[in-house]
Amino acid sequence: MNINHTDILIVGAGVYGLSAAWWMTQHKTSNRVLVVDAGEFASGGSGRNLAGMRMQWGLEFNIRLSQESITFFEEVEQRLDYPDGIDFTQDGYLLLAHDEKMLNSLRASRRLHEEFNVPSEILTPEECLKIVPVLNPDGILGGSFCHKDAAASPFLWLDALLRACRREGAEVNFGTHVRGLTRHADGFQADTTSGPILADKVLICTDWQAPELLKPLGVDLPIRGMPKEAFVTEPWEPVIGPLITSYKHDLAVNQIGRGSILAYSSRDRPQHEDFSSTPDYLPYCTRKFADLLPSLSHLNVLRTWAGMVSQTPDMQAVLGETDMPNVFVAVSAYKGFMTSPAVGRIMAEIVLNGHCDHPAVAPLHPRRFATGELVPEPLTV
Amino acid sequence: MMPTILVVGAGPAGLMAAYEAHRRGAHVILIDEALRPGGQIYRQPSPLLGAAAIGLVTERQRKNTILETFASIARDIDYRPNTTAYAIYPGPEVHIAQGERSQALRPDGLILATGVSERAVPFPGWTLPGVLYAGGTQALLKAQHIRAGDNVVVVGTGPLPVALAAQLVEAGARVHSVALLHPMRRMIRKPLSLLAGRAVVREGFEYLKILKRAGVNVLQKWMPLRAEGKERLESVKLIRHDGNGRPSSHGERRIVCDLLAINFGFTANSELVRMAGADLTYDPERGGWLPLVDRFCRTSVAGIFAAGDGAGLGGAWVAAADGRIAGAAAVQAVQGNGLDCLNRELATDFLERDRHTRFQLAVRETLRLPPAVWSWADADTIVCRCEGVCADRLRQAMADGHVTLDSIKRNTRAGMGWCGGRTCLSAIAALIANSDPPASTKPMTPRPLARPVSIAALAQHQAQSDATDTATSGKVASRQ
Repeated sequence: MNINHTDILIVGAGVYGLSAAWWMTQHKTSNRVLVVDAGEFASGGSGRNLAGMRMQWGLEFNIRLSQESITFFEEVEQRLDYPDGIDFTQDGYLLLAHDEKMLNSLRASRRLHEEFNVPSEILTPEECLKIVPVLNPDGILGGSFCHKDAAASPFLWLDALLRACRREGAEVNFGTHVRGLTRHADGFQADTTSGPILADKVLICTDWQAPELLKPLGVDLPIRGMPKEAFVTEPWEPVIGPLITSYKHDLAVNQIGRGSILAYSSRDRPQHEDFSSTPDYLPYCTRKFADLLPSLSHLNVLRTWAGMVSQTPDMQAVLGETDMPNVFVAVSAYKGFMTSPAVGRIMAEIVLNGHCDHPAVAPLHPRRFATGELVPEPLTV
Repeated sequence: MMPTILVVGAGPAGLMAAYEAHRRGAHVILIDEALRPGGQIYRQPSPLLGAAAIGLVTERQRKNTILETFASIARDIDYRPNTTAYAIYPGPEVHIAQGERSQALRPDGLILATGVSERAVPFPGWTLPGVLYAGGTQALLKAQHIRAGDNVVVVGTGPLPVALAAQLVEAGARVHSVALLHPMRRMIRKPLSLLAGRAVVREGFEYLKILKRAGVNVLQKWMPLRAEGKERLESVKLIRHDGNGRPSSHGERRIVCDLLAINFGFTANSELVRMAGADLTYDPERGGWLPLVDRFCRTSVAGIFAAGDGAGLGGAWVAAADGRIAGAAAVQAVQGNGLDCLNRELATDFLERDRHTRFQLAVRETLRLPPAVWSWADADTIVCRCEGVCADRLRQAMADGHVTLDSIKRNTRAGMGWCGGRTCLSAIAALIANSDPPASTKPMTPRPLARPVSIAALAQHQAQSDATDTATSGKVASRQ
């Protein structure tokens, strides 16, 4: 049988896997990098998100991850030699507070933002409405706004990464499902649908599916999948500048460059691994939408889709080497798209050099679940 | 207990399914997007427009028979015009919208009679204003009494271009040419099939007579080279082709016109049946992705039936027979009864359907697209018009290794727009295969919504209620 050898095997060709692979190629080592993915291009969570990114977080490391990533996105055309760009727009992100508790939490984060040069500001209700006149003003107490927060097309970002990876010598194979990993001599053997692959090091970027490969190796991480759904409207004239999250409505919206509005609303749903569309989602989410943006209720919804996000006990990413030496993991906990440039860089360094001195590395280490050092984020998604 | 049968679509198949299911004691809900019953083929104008006869006498008689049959029961069933079925969830649970309200229905039996849309073959200039589908042009004539142009060229395959050209002549247009991809004598390849449809063939001759009287050029084995114009259509360049859809070196002509009507066959509106998870087959001449159905119109999903052109192009006569069979079979099946008795009870319908299906074998000879039609598009010809994706971008995606429809969609956005891929899906599939794709080709993952529905309507939703509720309420109730 033809056995494929590689130095580094990355499982998962989503934004984390491809970004890490591209960064590895930038180290100009002799390491061979192979990325495999069970599905097709953009078929996982990376192609199913709301396409927004923000620096407005309540913890230093999340701020830093997003800041670095947004800076990268600003120059993505040159960095990845992708001249047409990835529809990156910097129209800001508005977080709305409808109660005092939320407003105080935004204020507290604002103090932290100042420390890290995040250009956010606390807005009065009038200022919120000035930025987004179509908002339902009822009950808005204020908001936090950062004009540097941004959006981009996940599909174009994935395409840019994929092309750059292949150009720089990383191999990316779709339709190759890794059924299991076993130790083999000094490295690992991946049993895949395209035959066995031998690798010295393995980086697992399958997000919520990571435990599937980790558990048999004796690595037990509390990562689960949580099904989510979103919808998209017909294109409309630009009426919503920034991305908006309303915690009261449990709703996030993003009017993309083509004019379509993406809307996403979380909701309790039975825990399972099936992410088909469910019948009660559209009524639920459209009701929230109609309340927050009543004058846009006439818009037609074109499509709804579902995806899976990764959930960890503190809803923070998991980045680093696992208890099984030379097996690494990068799980996004819901913020994969917006942190992927930075996380790719960090993981490339950790896998290649064994360390990286980014402030996110220590708090997001996989070991934290065993030691109980959880780092919950005050400004959740 | 009285079973509830939900019929989607009020063309000949849906109308006859509703009629038959009602006759057999079912509570029937019939929903349809249009304001008046008839579907595309028997589309009716607003009564306010007054009568204007479109089409031949024999055709109008068929139409009247179907519409009168339906009219005799219309008041006894729950008929909801102007209503859209936009999603099917397991159950089957069907979500429908009307105006600013939506509702979930859980019928005992579901009959999908969703018909067809026109199939696009992109060629340079086909998205210019003034280039219309032949069926769309005909719909304007039938429903609005609007003649979409004065100086007309009709291009395409199958019987529709000839019929439309004659109807436009009768409506007072100057039709310069009808350019047919195949010679009409192609139908003679199946003489017995032709015999089966002799009534329809006779109508074809009637239409040709009208064209002859009006001095219309009927060009055979011609193709469109490009539609030209700055802001809108000004002229079209036609050229003879070699039989495979490749332009030949001689016989090019440019015709000044303000309407170019095109038809390259049809695509089944199979979104709902795909969403329901039914097993599919691919048959380019019968509508692309089709549900696999048995002789009783049963799909692979229990309780879901598919009838009419949406289950495989067969024309209005097949559709009506299909509808009667599906209506009867659905009532029998949901009551747990065997279907064999229908072979005798509906013997005429089965015979009728078989006969006209045989005729379709002759028609499909003229609907078959030669492989090279899929290379008509220039580099910058738009293929997905909703998202503005041109042929070159699609070819680049394929060169990058994106060879499935889902993967191409995510890489290029083709198929993500308003029409949900209805227009471009078969063209993209054909571009991938460089001819009509093999039956194993998977269409894009079907996601709700099958048709766009407003946020207001989706937000004003009445959750699933059992059949007895809908049976007594009849109307869509709302719940905040």
